[in-house]
This record gives sequence, C-alpha cells and structure tokens, in this order.
Amino acid sequence: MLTIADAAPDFSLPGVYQGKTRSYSLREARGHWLVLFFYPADFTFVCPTEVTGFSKLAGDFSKERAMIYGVSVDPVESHRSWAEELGGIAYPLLSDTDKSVSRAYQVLHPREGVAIRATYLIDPEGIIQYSAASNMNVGRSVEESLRVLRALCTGKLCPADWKPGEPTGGPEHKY
Amino acid sequence: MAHPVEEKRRKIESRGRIREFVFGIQDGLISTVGLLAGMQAAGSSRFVILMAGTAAVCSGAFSMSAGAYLSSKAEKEIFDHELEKEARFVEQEPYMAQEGLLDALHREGLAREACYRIVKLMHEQKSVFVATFQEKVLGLGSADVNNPVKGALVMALSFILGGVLPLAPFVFMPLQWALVIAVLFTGTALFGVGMFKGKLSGQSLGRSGLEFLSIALIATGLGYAVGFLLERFAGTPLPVV
Repeated sequence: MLTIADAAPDFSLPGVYQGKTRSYSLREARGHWLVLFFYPADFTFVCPTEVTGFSKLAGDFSKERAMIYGVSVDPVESHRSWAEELGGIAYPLLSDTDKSVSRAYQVLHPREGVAIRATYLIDPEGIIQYSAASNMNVGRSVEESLRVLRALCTGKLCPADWKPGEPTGGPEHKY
Repeated sequence: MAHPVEEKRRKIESRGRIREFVFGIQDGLISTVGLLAGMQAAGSSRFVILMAGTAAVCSGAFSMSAGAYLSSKAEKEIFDHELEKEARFVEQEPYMAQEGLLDALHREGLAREACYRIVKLMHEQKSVFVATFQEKVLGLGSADVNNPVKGALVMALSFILGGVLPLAPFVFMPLQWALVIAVLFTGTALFGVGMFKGKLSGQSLGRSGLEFLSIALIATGLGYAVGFLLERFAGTPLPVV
C-alpha cells in the first residue's frame, strides 16, 4: 500500500452520485481533504455497513472540508442499483472496472481481483496523510477515519486516542 | 398426477439404486461363476458344487446386503451430521452464510446483483436458505437417494439373481456342459447389465456391455486358473467332505 507523504496517484473515474453518472478525479478534490476508500464489491452482505457508515457521517466529513469517494471494481450501473438498494448514498461511488486505480493505490487483492478494504486520507495538496486496510471479513471503522481526519485538520500533535475537544500537544506540551 | 419435475426427481432417485444393482448382480455372477469354475476344475461332484454354490450365493447375499446397509448408513449418518452442523452455522453466522451462497451463485455465472437479491429473498425463509446453502456452497445434495434399507434389499436381490444364473445349469445339465452354459449365461447377463447401464447413462450399449463382459472374463479366467493350479499343486482332486 502507499503510505504517508506519498503523492496520491492521479485518477479520473466514472462515478454515480444521486443517480447521475459523471467523471470524478483527484484533481477535482484539490483544495479539499479527500477520503478515498476502496471496498471489494457492491451487493455483498458486509460492504453495505461501511458504505452506509460513510454516508451517515458524510455531514461530519463535510464540516472538515473533506470529500468522500468510494471505489470498487464494479461498473457504474451496479453502483447505481446498489446506491438505490441502500436508500441513497451521500457521496459518489466510483467505478474502477479496469482496476488501474486499485492497482496504482496498491489495494488490488492478488487472487480475488477486487479492491481490499483500504482507506486513504489525502490532504488538499494531494499528499497521503493516512492509510489503513483491514481483512476482507472485517469492516473498517468509519469513526476512526473521521477522528484521524479531525486530528489532521488541527495541524497539531494529537496524542493516542485523541478526540475532538481534548487538548492537543503543542511544543510546550509534554506527553 | 405428480408434477413432471417431481416425477423426474423420483426417477433419478430410483436410478440412484443402480449402484447397488450393478454391484450386487456383478458380484453375484462373477463370484459364483468363479467359484463354480474353480470347483469343477478341482474335480468336485455335482452335489458338492450345488451345496457350495448355494451356500456361497446365500452368504454372499447376506454379507453384501449387510455391507451395503452399514456403508450407506454410515454415509447417511455422517452426511446428516454435517447437514445439522451447517444448519447451525447458517443460524449463527448469517452474514457469512449469505456471502458464501452469493459467491457460489456468482461463480456459476449469475450477475452479482441478481445473486444478492435472490439470497436476500431466500434468507427470509430459513429452510429454503439452509437447503440451498447446503447444496450450492457445500455440494451436499438431498439425502433421499441414500436409503440404507432399500440399498441393502436391492443389493441382496441383485446378488441372488446374479448367483442363481450360473448355478442353475449345474442342477439340470451334465457336469461337462454345465460350466460352459454357466459361463454363457453369465456372459450374456453381464453384457445385458452393461447394456442396461449404457442405456441409463446414455452411453454406447455395445461398449458398455463389452466393458462388463471383459471384466467378467478376466475374473472367471483367474478363478479357473487358481483351481487348475491348486489341483496341479495338490496332485489329486481336492478331498470332498
């Protein structure tokens, strides 16, 4: 996987948001934080908990000037039906059907040929500031992604398990 | 009138007994004709041949049917135990079970979205879901075919039928001809069973018949050779008790 301080590879993928299809790119997200999360497939019984999890907290991510893109190797038609099935999703689902973006972000499962459960937080300059991945059978913590984003947005040193509202550690603060 | 699909299922199930039928009749024919050939080669009397032949057919039928019963029962019990375990798994791990069935259907060529909807719908009716999960994910079919008592009965009758055919000529015919006729009966019966199997399995009748016959010839030849060698080894015909 790519890691901290790596430049996020540029991409342009078709995506579905509120039933409409258009192209979404990394460039478009410049000037914003971007939560780029990959998931294995539409129409499964584990992924919806993550996809809807990000959707439920989309407002909180937005308050941090963050955009969210969900990416899988499914086609846009599948994303559209899947979003409908889940009762609407508050961010675009992008289609990486040729798997080039999953490959560029080093999140393509070698045997299954689908993206693993990986999350990247990309800063407004397009640099990766957080990356995490979990086992195919274990859904990731959306709240943890939000916590890390908020911590990154403070621009300060945040101790372990820091939560918004708690003191951050300036140069004068000793841990 | 039964539904055509239901009738087809019953037909397939009844054909599932072909295993015991073929096993029984083949073993009845070959073991009996082999024994008779060996005894005649060793110079036994008609009475001894008939007594030994009848005893061999009866004990063979009992032993084979007991074997069929025990093996089918063992298989069925293990199979049923696995089914119970899987039913519990489906209840305790519904997501994994749903995901497993979805993957299985998807691998068979159904679109992922269709699989998802089917699995979700099926999951509303537990018994339907469990049965489909067992069949599609675990490859365990219906246990109805595996009826130990029926299997044992078919095995016994087939063995007796197979044993009586080569034994019959020894009742009526002169001894020097009896074995020839027994071998002819056996060959014809085996060829017939082979053809019958060929018909059911949609294969060439002649080839299937020939397959059965050639195996029988080898077994009979071996039986005769052993009897012949024993006589040569002993120097005199084996003692008659």
